[in-house]
Amino acid sequence: MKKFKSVVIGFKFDEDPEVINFLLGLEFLRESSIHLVHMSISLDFNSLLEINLAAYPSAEAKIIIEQAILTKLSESKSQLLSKGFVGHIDNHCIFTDNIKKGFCKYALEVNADLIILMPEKKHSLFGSFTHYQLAHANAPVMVLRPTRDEA
Amino acid sequence: MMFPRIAVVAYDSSHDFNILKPIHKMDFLVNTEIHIVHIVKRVFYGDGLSFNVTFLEQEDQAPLRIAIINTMKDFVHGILPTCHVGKVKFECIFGDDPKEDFCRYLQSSKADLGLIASREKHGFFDSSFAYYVSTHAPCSVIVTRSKEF
Repeated sequence: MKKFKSVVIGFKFDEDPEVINFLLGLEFLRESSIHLVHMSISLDFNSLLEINLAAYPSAEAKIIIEQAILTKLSESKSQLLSKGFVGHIDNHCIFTDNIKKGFCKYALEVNADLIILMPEKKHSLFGSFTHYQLAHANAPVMVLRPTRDEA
Repeated sequence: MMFPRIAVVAYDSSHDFNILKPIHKMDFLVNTEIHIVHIVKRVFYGDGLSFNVTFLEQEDQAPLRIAIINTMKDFVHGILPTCHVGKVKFECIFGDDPKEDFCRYLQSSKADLGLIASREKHGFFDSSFAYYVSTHAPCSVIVTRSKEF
């Protein structure tokens, strides 16, 4: 009974712990192939300015950032595994100049059956990113919110 | 965790029932109580002016509600998850603002999950409807498009 084979979960690391706990309790994900994804902004003006300095983050900084993020994502992976998860989990840190499009593109590349987003607050300005995914993603988008406790 | 206990599906009259077919493949809803909610927008004309006309007055709503619910009952078996054993409830809501009405229904029914089936990027159930519900619903929300399944 596994319809969501490939699930992409967007992490920003400012998620409400209650939402994370809720995510960990979702039984229908336990056999899925899960992609834990953090999108990082990267700016590169080289092609426009023909100079080598206008790029952020630098190649060295990118490695440090990526390692830190993958370590953080591994913690979430461990949490999932501790909850009886039997599927496959991949951690990804993606650098892009447009995180909305980049995330959408990644979900398309891995042929996602479900995208899960976790807004930090009920009425926060998590806005344009989620709005973009709702309008453009090629997979169902689940906006996760623990039920009733905060209602 | 058994999730979800109650799921509410939004449906509006601008699409045919096939738009709900993505639900058919959601096997995790097999034991879930599913509410299929049809939202009909009431329209007021002349509000604040010297006249006040309402499209879909109270007396017009009852027969329409019966007709809509009967139609939903005819089609429901084609969209429920295979081997679904949970309860199914049909509801027809007449309201001024479908987005708010749907969120209110999620609240009042103590839903664990809201489901919005959308085919188009524009129109009544466009991304702004989905976006509003995803930001204001008291529970988790899944937005699907029929082309995905």
